[in-house]
Amino acid sequence: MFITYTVEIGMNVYIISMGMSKIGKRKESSKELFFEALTEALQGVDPRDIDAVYVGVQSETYEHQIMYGSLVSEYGGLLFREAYRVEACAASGALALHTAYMAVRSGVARVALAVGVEKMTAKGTEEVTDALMAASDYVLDQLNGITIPAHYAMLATRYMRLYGATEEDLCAVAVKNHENASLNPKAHFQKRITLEECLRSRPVARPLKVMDSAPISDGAAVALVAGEDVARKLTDTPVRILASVVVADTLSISQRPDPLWPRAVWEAAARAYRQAGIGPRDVGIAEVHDAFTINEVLMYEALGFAERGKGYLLVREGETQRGGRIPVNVSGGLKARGHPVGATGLAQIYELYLHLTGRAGKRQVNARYGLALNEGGVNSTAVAHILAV
Amino acid sequence: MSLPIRGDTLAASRCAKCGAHFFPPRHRCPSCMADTVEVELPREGTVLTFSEVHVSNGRFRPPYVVAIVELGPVRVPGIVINATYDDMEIGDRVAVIVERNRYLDEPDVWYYFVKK
Ligand SMILES: [Zn+2]
Repeated sequence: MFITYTVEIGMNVYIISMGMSKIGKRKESSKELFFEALTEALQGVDPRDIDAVYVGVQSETYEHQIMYGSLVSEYGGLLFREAYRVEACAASGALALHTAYMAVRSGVARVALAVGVEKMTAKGTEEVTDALMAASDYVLDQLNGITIPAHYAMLATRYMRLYGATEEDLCAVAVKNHENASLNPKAHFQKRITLEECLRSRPVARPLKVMDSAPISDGAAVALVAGEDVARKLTDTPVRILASVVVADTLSISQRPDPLWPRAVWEAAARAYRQAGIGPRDVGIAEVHDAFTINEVLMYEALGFAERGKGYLLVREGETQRGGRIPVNVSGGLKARGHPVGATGLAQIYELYLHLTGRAGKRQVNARYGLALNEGGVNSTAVAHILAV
Repeated sequence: MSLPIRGDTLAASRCAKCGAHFFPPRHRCPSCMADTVEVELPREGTVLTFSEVHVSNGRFRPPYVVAIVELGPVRVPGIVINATYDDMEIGDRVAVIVERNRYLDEPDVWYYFVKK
């Protein structure tokens, strides 16, 4: 028997406060980066009100550490609450927010703290590549030396040949995101880059180059989540979580009927639009998972911003830059804001939160609805959030 | 761990009920819960897409070409040992060879693709 059913329970859920560390090559450990983000988020909120902590972390190899639930609870003065780690590689941060959302919506917590954190730069590039490779299929991918960049590169190879996009089109995504990050004081890079610099940069996995790729970064971001009654008491600027959706796909892109269609992203977005009662045209600002430039293009298509095979034209036509029809990765994206893997999902949410509450400074985009799409592996777990004021 | 190498060829499995194929092989189909039968894969396939890895995890010596190959009813990722990125095109034919593992201690034999 195959059963379908819908359940309607729970209350409206809000983000009442957020914080994010400076992202970059940092000397601090992950618990110290977490505390930097928490300090910002606790302005006006009493830590005694927090009764659950969910932590997104990618890997135990960077700091030789597990038990991040207890670790951050201890360092944050938040012991004896429900606290644990959640993981879906680079989607861990948004997964922590989803867990906090579920906890509040179900009544398990009145105020839940979602944490995303990663401390990566103490390790070398090969060690980081190896740790990230654990997100791919062991037999199909890991035993064949198919790194995560190589997966995205194989998507780029096929996409360029099928749809006529060029290496210039992919580099244009990086140029746009660096331009945005030049206005973001917390970004890993505040430096603009040129198309030529990107095209000349060293190959990582052809056709993708260093400047098509997000950097290795350290950082943390946190969100405090509560139901409507509590949110109204604690803040004048609550941001509502209209949708929070997690969808899984295969680990290896080789096992997908159409490798160029990131189905989990599409499914997560479609369900999120339905939950929120809006469509792609209503989205005023989006943060999407540009771990590699090709993926920002694929996401335009899976999120309904562009037709299939035409995502790269949005960048050519400037539609996704600040001031365009749908500004994407105004923070600088993973490419230039930086990519502390477990923190990235909440860093995306932090950017939307700043814009929706009018605090994004020089890069402010005025929007009613914001969408964040965070993914882990190679679009293997997709987490969609739609926020609104 | 279920590995796909049988002598000098690769194996997949087919669901006896719905006909779905699995690579590497598995004993039971997760859709039907029916038993599967093992099938030998063709020794030649077609390149679906490819890359050339320049930054590895330290265990594989770059640069090396990787590809996803359509091998009969399944798709198989692997290393192409005799080509560079600029030699490759979608639709290229490749042969499967099984030999001593070129990069890792385990498993001691592994499969590779040879561009024709
Ligand atoms: Zn079956």
